[in-house]
Amino acid sequence: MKKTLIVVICVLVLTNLPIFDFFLKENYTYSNIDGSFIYSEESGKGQSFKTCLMRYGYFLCQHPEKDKGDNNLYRTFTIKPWRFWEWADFIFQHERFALPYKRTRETK
Amino acid sequence: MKKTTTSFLAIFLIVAAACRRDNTNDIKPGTEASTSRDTLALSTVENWHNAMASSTPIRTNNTSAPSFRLADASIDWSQAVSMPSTASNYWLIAMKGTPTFQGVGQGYRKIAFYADKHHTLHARILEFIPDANWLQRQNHITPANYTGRIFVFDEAYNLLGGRIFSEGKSIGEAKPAKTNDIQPSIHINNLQPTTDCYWVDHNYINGEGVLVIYSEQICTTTYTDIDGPYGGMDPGGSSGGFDPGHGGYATPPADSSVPSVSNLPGEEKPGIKPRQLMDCFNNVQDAGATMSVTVYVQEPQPGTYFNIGKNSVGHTAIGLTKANGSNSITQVVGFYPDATGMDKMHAPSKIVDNSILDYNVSITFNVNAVNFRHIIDYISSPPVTYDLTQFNCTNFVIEACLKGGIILPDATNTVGLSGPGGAMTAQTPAALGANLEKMNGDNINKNGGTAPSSKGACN
Repeated sequence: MKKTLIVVICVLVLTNLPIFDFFLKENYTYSNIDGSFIYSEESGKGQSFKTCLMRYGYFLCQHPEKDKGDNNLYRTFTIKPWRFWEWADFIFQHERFALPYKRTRETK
Repeated sequence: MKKTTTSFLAIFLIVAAACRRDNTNDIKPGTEASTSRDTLALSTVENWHNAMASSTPIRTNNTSAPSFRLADASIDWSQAVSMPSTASNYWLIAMKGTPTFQGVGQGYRKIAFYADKHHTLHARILEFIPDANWLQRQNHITPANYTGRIFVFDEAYNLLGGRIFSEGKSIGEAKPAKTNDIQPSIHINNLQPTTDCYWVDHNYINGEGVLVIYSEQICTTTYTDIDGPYGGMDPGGSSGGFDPGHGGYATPPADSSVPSVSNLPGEEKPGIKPRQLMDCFNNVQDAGATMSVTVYVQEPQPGTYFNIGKNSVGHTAIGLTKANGSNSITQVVGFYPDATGMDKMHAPSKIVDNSILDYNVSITFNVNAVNFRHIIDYISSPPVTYDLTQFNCTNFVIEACLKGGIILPDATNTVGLSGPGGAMTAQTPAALGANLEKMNGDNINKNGGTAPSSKGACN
């Protein structure tokens, strides 16, 4: 029992390490209300949620008309809590999951 | 003795009464301060600040950012320091809050209160971001040796401008970035050396935690071989030195044998149409233009040859800048697999806009027009297949640079486990980044940072 628990914990820790992000982590995608701004984290390969926020801020500055009305940033990915290899993101980088969800044409 | 004491008390009372009158002046923001002399009293500033509670404008240029009210700012008046200046003194007070530059909280900020020549009071917020390397080498920061950036904001925390200092001397400037208002300053000289200055958009997070986008003037000096194979181009000529039959740098027709990335399924995928981005460079006139190529490397584990690390497998991106007169266009892109999970090992490719990429090391090359055209042609029609070991993001950048006559340092690294056939090798961001860090030169940035924003597709 104790051995099983240790194995489970090791698997949880290892699969949540950033070294496996490229293969395991979902391409978290984001969009504004009308889809004129889209962003993908590309599984952590050069892209990040922080960069997404900066890019969206820059986008709003460049397109002030998009800053009127609904200027929320939406996540276009669904939350999949069974993905234990993303639990570290749920805990330590939960901001992205708190964004409102918007379905894209692809997910409809 | 008694008469002297009485006189002293009378003088003291007069002075004290004068001070009280000064304290009770009801000075509205933007009105004339009671300065019959050239000294600005701290009490005058304090009263002015207290009186502006109902009249401080609220910043509206970015509704997603919290608004700033100077009247609500916590100011420790006991820390105020009077600074001399040519006309009058001004008051400088340290403020809480740390700017975030290049992803790292660094620097400090102060607020300055001063009266202009019409005795109208103003406040300016100064954010000081010393150069990190310089700061580590110095024991004391003095105006005479300050190296780094200073950004100036108005009372509503709108960026007014900034200066870049090296050893106390101003070597550059910054200004708020505005759409279609990039003002490049290009100085072309056919004689060696050639100094090119252009504006590049950058950003950082100020002490209020708000993203600030600004344009920074960057100057580079290159030594051009004007007798080289492409050096004899006539910038003012009609041919531009090549392909006169197609109007100089006209975009060649797409290779019909190579499907465009734009044909990838899914309109809302972040993959971009590279040709649309590259065609933007046609909006900048070729004659007299300066062109540069920057390779950005995000190392998996910075400073090591490890192919995996805190940045996963890392990334290599390429940035192109073309500037001419009032036009300057930058595009930063990267090569990615268009797949998920283990399918990324070998998958269809896509080009992704890598604006504001966090990188560890970069290298910049100035290229001539012909080589620049070769590079953008290559990026416009990228290889259709991504392979993690055979042709990944680093291979793509290396190949793109080769098209432009640029040879990057060896990026070969051992990947995976060595078996009977020997160790497998691949071009990796880890090896490219580590080898770039071993190089020296003015065109290498080992401090890292964030890549500039891409112009995006042009209509």
